[in-house]
Amino acid sequence: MDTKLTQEEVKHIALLANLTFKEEEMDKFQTQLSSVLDYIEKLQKLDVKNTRETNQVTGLENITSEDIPQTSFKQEEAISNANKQKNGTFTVKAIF
Amino acid sequence: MTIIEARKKLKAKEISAVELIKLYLNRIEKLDPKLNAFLTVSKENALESAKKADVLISQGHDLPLLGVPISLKDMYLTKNIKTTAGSKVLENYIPQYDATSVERLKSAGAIIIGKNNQDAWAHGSSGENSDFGPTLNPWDKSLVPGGSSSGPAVAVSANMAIASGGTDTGGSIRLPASFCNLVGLKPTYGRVSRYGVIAMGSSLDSIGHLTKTVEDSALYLQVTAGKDEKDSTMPNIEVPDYTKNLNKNIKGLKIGIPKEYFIKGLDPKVETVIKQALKKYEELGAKIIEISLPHTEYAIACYYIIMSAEVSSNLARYDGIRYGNERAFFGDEAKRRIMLGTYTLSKGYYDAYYKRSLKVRNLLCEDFNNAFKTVDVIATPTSPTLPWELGEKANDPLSMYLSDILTVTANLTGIPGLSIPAGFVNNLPVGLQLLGPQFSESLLFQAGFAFEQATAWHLKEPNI
Repeated sequence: MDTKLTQEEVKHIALLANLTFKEEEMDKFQTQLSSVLDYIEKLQKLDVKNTRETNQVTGLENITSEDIPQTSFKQEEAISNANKQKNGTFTVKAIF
Repeated sequence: MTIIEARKKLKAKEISAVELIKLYLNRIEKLDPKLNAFLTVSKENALESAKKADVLISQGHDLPLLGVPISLKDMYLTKNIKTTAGSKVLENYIPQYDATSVERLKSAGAIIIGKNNQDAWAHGSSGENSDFGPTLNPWDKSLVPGGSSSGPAVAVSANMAIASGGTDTGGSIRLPASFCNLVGLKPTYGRVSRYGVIAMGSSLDSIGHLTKTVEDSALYLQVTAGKDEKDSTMPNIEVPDYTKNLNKNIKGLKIGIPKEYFIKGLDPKVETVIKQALKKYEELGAKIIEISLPHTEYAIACYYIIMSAEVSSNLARYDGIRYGNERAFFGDEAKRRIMLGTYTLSKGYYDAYYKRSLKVRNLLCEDFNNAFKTVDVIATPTSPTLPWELGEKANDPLSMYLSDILTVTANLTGIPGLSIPAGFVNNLPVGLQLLGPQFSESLLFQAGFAFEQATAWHLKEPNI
């Protein structure tokens, strides 16, 4: 099967998707994803050379709202669900 | 009890809102340990709201849902009430605001009795992908109730709520409606605001609901439908009076039957029920016309690429920083879909998969546009099979995906779909799906109401 994903490819996708897998899970995901990709191959049979893309079904374009400042959340509300907080702010791992 | 019946009893002071809510809270306490339809029961809040409702009722207020107990799929953000999307990632998440739909339901007097279990992130067709255990079908507890709005369906079917809010991205309201003998509405994309509902596939998500009857469904949509400044994907289409002309005669209604939907995998017993339902429509004066939707066989493949791509983008926000646990808490199905989406959007594959799917989406839209030139509505089975056994499809994700084969086209094309009770096989419910052009919910309700009034399927209750 040409479309069967290699373990390297699965690891690469996991990196892009910011997901981690245990070694034991690799085989299972590799097989399951590959079988879905096999099924999806059927779309290659269609001639879509002259077909336009449909991104969304409403036909709406450039819907904007007025730029009026409004009250949003208070600081305590905004951080109320953060696991790691410090001095009323979100904390993340150091980048530098 | 239906919404109509509850409102009648409340107005006539036959029962108070507090008594009604207590009745439903007791049923939840008694039945839900066996069914697992609720993740959160808002006992104190609901009783508080009921007391306020009783005051309003005594003052003569007549809001459409005043005093009516409603439950919501855990995809709807409810202020100060835990909201999990069925996932361990959000197991402690307490929203700071209500979804627009929730605000509208509350303004109409509805009492939110609890939050329902579901497939995590709405990824599933059976309820089995919940991180908090599956919900069971009250018609047969060894079988699935359908998903991903599994909890909402079971709550209404087992009389633990009078109506429930669900979401439908590939069939997630219609399929459980079919498996639980309910009326399930997937409105037109952009008919009901998506603001405050956890996003799965942003060009596919539809905010709908499950009820016992078509009239209840119309009443509920009257409350939730309509433009919302906070959702920029809502065309400016006026909201008609959905309840007004429900009993309009359907003589001459042209019902299209797409030959591609009567597929090889369709259970012959399900097919028999559907064919009998179509005969009933003929008796009521409708015209049955065979049509073709030629690109049907490509719909699932097209859906899974577009949906996974949008899921991989929407779930990128769950990084554990502002809310929720870290990404290691995602379950297997979420990981599968994120991976599939990431792959089909990645360099070297984007054109062959994602771009191609957008073109196939166009072809499917054309199929339906052409069909609606010759027919008014389209009728199909909602599901190719009866509810399956818990665990039966656990190791075969692809087989699970194929159960959506008759419902995904409505999400890809943005059209509305209504699943109504159409009969039984071995005491298991079978749903008939009605599809119409965009914003044709009134017509679907009329067609559904006519069938409902001529049959008694919707009156049957599970034996629990």
